[in-house]
Amino acid sequence: MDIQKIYKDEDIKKLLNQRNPILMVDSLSAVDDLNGLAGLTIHADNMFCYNGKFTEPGLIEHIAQSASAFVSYRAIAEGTADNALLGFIGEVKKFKLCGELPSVNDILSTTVSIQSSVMNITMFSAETKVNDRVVATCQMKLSV
Amino acid sequence: MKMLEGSYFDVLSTSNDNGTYSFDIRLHSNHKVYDGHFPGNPVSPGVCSIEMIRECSEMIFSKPLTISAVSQCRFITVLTPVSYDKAVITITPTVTGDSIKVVASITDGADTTFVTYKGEYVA
Repeated sequence: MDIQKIYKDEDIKKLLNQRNPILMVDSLSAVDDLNGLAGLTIHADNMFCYNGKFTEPGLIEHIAQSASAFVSYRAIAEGTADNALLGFIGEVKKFKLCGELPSVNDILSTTVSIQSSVMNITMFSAETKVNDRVVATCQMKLSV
Repeated sequence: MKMLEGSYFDVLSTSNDNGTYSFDIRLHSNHKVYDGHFPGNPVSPGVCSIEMIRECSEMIFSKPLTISAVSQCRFITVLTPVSYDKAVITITPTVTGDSIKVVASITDGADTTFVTYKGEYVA
């Protein structure tokens, strides 16, 4: 598949059905067939910000949307879809918060890795960093 | 933290049965999150269920709690504020030192389970 394309800003809406105030990914690219890289700049008006910190449910939603967007990315690159697929989280496993929550103006950088993909169920592992510090790790089951 | 309580959901009543706490809640269908999740098709975001469980846990312990880990959270039935405006959150906490482990669920109070949750907080 073509993994050159980088989605950002308005283009990200081609990969996700979520819209403001709960659009939690603002860039997505592919590292290779099984690994995607998503980003999010934390703005002060983000619905998951509280006292200047980006909270845990925001991190989990960002990771879920990173995975969902990468599934759409692959489908579009492979020509099996024209637009965003509708993805739902089936299960969150082994979410771990590593140290401090991210702050307003931080930029999240999340690697999502496909572990398995059977029928419409995709298992992911994910790692979210701010600069080079790991903020959260997680596994997720996504139904698309 | 009251990120969602009072705007996304209200707690109507609480009870404690031998260390298992129950919260009868009402979901607000007019919360802004439904503008984007999804346009024209309101579905309660799974992470908002995780946050409701946290905010109810904070009511039990009367202090802010950080979600340090979620060992497993399953989303079994899709929750929407249209089909279910009321739900029941059940939380059983176990305290070990600084860590609070909880087993929780969100149901319709009868046969339908929306979410099952096992997680850990630090105060």
